[in-house]
Amino acid sequence: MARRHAPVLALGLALALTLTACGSGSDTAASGGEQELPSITLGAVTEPTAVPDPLVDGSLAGYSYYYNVFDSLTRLDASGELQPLLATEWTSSEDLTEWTFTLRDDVTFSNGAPLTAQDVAFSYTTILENPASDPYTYMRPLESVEVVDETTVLFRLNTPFSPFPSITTSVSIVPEDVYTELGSEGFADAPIGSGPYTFASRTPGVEYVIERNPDYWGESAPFEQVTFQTIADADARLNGVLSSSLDVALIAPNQVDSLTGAATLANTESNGVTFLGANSTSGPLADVRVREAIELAIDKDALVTGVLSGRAAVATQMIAPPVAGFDPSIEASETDVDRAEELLAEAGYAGEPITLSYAIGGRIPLSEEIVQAVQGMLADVGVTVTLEGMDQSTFSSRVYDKKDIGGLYLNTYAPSQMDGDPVVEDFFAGGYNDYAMSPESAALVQATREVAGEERIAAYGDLMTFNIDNRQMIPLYVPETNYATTDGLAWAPRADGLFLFGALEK
Amino acid sequence: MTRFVGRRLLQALVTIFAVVLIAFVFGRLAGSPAAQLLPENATQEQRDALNAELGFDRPVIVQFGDYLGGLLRGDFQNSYRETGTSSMALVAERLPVSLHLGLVGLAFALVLAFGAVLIVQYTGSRILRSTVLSVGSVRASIPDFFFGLLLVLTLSVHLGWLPSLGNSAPLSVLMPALTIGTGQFVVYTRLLDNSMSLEGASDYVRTARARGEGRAFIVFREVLPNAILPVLTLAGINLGAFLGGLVLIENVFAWPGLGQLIVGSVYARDFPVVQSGMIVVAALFVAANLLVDLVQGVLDPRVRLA
Repeated sequence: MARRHAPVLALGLALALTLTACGSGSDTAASGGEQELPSITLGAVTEPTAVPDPLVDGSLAGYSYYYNVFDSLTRLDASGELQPLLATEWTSSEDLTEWTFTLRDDVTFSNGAPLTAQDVAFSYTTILENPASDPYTYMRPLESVEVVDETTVLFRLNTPFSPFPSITTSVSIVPEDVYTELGSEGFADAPIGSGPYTFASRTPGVEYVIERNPDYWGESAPFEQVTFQTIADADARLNGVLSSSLDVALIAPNQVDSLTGAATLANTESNGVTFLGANSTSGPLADVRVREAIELAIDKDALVTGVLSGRAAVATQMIAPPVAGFDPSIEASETDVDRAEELLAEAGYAGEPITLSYAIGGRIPLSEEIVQAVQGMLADVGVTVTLEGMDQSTFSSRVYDKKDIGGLYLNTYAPSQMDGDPVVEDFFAGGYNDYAMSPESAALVQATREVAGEERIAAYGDLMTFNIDNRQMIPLYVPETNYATTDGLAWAPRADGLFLFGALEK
Repeated sequence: MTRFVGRRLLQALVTIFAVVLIAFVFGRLAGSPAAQLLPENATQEQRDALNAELGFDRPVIVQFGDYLGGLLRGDFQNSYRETGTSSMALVAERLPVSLHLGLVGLAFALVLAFGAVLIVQYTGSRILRSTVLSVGSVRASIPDFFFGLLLVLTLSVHLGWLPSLGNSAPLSVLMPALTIGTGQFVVYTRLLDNSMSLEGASDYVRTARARGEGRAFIVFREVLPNAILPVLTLAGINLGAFLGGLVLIENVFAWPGLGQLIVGSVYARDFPVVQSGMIVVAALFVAANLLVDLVQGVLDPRVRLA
């Protein structure tokens, strides 16, 4: 008997499963229709690399949440300019080692408690006391934080540091009592902030949901609910927006032309420079003439127009235009194939192979096309380039852990705080992209920190000129950041690549 | 029976141990995770400290010993990224999502295949058979991720009928499951059709015909039950193996399943999650095979404990 029923049973089971899958509900797309304020879904490329506690995690994906749920002392506007937020004003001592910030007195956390100078001091001190935290890496100049009175905080630095206010853009202020009670992981599960949104829910690897904070001290947010949905695949993100499953998502330069119908393009100049790093400690690259020849042989205009569909600008220096420290007086080096061949001949270069390492499908869109174009341009002047592709983590590990890239490599650096300081530290003062380890460039980096305003730009200019003379790093282009959005979305892209869903800046 | 099950359990443990060993060793070969876990401008001291905290400063064999010891105590280690959360808890969260997709996909494949073959067998039409097999073969020759993209472009982007990604809407499962189901359709179709044709030539069928039984009775009640065994075997094995194949499909549809978790964890060097994921996949594979053997025994006395 049992034998007779088996196939029927199997079929029935299969049918039942299918029907369960088809049966329930008919709502498809995510966005709300009749509500006064829309709810939107964002296609995020990654999720935070650690437990999303703003005092511990410093991933780009994490900052997009924190900036919506927490406030910081200052905030960068969409173009990258420093603006007051919790702090109304700030001053520094003559020697740039003491910074005094004055706070607003009308800010409350979403649990109703007032935000005080003590909370500010606590947030900074917690980071200072935890060298394993991501934000700690930005705290190197900071010595201590003092509460002067209810609305005044004093930061003491261990060195003159003119870009200090840029650091305050990224430090989320948390309520001391709640954070102390819950601890880091507990707080990440139930965070309390003072930002335009409050935390609603989080499913690791799937989504992170925030809701409008009805009691926000500033201008009220334009969305009832924002969902950050993690979607690693670029095509899936684009199709998500095209089919209205998503409202906004980052797309690649070569996907821009696929935007039709319901989706529109929102784009902005990015804060990063895509460059060729060079291990100049050995091999043909140890000769500055070879490095110069390589830069002269690369037609950056052709890379931008040919490979990147014009979705980038030729980089003139190692700092992107929206980032503080950019010197507008520096011009891009001109392509000069004849001079490149001359230099190679002078250097006695005879076709020894030079590797060019890069990440496949990683942080740099179209990286494979870029390196192939570079390989071709260099072959034209007689430089033999062997390509070495790897996944992003292997690449990152070799650049940022082992520091053992031999030859050339394609990399990018985009400072979230929109200040050139971490960039030049990394490139020219002994960081992971600094193979030359020149004391001269390190001194030039130090010099930038001891001056402010126009003088600081000039100091950056000196540093960039040093690089042009020594060709330690070869700037290629500043990419555009491209987003597909649904029509009429009250959102604008930011130069720092973060997502902010507060009221739009006028 | 006890010895049979005991032997299979031992085999299962050996298989899982081998998988764990491979996942562990290859993971360690890929380098230490601090560079992925810390921001780019972290100092070397910070990286060294984190690597030491995770035990990466010790010999691999000691790390492996520690890990195995932990497994025996039921400690699968915490995720490096989601500190404070067991890696197995993260895997357990995603497993049902993948199983849901896999089962609905398998159901599609079986329903389509059984439907098509039963019609072919009942009518005995050669044209119908070759049409079904040709269509199935054409579909099977299109890679799943590409077919999935075609579905997205037509049904979601162009027509706007179905959500293109995620699993938040109930209908989200349709397109990825259809991709899996149609991809496997021809395999089951061919298998069941062959099997039924073979059975159709056996003596008991001739006897049934001689008894004057109707065509429907012969096809459904006599042939099908005897022909179903190889199909169930394959379905069982596929069910165990499908998690590996789901990776690409989960990526196309941003389906937040186990495949995406494991791939993401590989890229992030979150080794405990990778290892726990591999353990679960291996265990499922072994369990599915075991189940197939047992079910075979129940369905067909001839293979019982052979």
